[in-house]
Amino acid sequence: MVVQYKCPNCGADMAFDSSSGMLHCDSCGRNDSIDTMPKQDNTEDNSNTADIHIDPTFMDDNGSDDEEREHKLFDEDEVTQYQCKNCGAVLITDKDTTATTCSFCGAGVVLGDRLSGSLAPAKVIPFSINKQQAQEAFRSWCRKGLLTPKGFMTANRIKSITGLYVPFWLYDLNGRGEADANCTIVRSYPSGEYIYTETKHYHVFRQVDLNYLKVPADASEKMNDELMDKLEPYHYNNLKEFNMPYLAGYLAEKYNYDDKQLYPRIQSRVEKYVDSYIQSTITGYTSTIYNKKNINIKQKHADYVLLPVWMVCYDYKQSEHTFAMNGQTGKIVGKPPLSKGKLAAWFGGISGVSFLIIKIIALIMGGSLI
Amino acid sequence: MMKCKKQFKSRLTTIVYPFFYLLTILICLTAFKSITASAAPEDQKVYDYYGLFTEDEVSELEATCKEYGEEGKVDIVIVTTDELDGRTRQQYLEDFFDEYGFGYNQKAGDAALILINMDSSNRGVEIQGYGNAEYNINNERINHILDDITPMLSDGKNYKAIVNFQKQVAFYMTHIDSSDHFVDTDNLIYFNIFFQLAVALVIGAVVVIIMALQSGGKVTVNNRTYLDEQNSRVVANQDYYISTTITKVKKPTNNNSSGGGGGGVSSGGSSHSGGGRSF
Repeated sequence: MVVQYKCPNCGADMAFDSSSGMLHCDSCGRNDSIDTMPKQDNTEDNSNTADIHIDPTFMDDNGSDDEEREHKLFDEDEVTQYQCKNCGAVLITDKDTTATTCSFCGAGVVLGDRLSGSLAPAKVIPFSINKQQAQEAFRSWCRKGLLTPKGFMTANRIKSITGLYVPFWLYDLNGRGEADANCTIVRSYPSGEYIYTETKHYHVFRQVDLNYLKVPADASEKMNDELMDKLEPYHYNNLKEFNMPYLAGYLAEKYNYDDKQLYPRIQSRVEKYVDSYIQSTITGYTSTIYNKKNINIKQKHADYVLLPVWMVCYDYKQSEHTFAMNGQTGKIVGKPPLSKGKLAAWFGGISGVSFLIIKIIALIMGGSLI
Repeated sequence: MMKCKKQFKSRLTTIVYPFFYLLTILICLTAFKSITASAAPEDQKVYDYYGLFTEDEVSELEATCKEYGEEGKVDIVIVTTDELDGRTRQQYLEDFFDEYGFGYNQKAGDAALILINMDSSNRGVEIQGYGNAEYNINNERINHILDDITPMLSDGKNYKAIVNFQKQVAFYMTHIDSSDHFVDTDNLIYFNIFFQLAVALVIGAVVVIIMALQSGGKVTVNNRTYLDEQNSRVVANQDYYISTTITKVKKPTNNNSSGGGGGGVSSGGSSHSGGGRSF
């Protein structure tokens, strides 16, 4: 099931436009609001809507049977060929692709069957940063690199820049924590011939009931978890009900891990949150020793969402560096190459300045020059 | 604007190199420090009857006596012996002063004397101040000096103890205010150039390592980012007082002296401050 968006005016391919948040036709300038479009998640026959064309020639044998397809789940290992509705070329996809562009005619295509049933995303944050802005932001980020080599700072070797909707699970969780601790307050004062040290012992008990909303975990095996964690935070006020047109013109993937498989990762993360919350409620003591700590995390709800990421591939000295940019906030993460010369210069500079400052302080305090 | 920034950055690299030179120069300067102290004695200030110091040490002490004496406008005299001829240290030093009549301004004038008695059955140190030094180096200040140098003497660091004594004399002669207390800055680790260098290098290394680690972007969410504040609460919050324990330690005191304030008048009629200790 290949979904392509044709302009009802001129028939050209439409794509999602991040600045207006609407489906945009480059040829005639028509904008269509996505909110008003019907969701075709469960509706198989969309021929009544003028601007949406669904290719009914599903390559699978059962494809033409609407009733069966409704209940049929997409099979992970299924090798399915998709054809571009425009030019008939075979679309280059792998098993995770849910949206791509036709490599021949450039039309944005969405693979609808990989976005339905249990694979239907609940929500999506559309791109707010378009390709030009992403490129510009990446360049200026490179220029700001204090330790990156000069050749890298010009950022003129961007190999590819790809807008990608990465699958995430957003968890709503409840965390209950209990802690039992022995705390002390130590005070010392001189009196007469002696210095007294007074230690007051307390028994401290805390119980907290915390709720966490929309904690994200990256569900794609291709994406580096550490990199994706650093992309946070996404602002959820722009979280929209999922609709396929948001993907037009971008790449998208489906999840490789379901919410149960990713739960241990999110559990240990939220355990740390609850733990530090408990610690923040025990204040005013000199020392705290925990006797017992009980933290219990429960998943209340998990939503499958697609979050926007710009992936930037960059060639520098025969090696490829990959960077990821939050497609909503523009935050960039990824390891840039480091320049040895600049590392040495900064090290020397900071050491030299600190030495001067230390020396000046020492001179003021009465030290000698050498 | 962008161009300006870029220029600044490339210039930054050229600015930091002079700091390397500066560091090198300062390290070289330390090497010269020890060469400065050598001068021929005009009149004798060091009377090393016991032979506590080597010849080189004696001539260096002569020079420092003169140097610090000039600074404090006082005669600094060092005497070592192991033969008191039946007198106390105080009497011995009084007689020594009467005999030679030390004084910066005049004969039997402003002078600070230190006696080290190395007689193994009666090892001790005595300090006396005459003239102006009687007031500027009073018994209380002599006690402070003794606090500092007696441990050095019992450790056998005699030369270091004497130099310290000279410095303190010069300091107290120029700091009349009773609240001024001598701090040996040369021996404080914070004023040691190698210590300062090491600290500076550590700061540089730590900052650069942090910069390198953060160049790949840092985590900007914390434990409150996803917290639903309205629906989160502390259910139980109990702090029970159990008990209080009190321990006490005696205040550290400097009273390890065996021979207290030793001021008085010498047989020659010179009034002086003084103090001494065994070690």
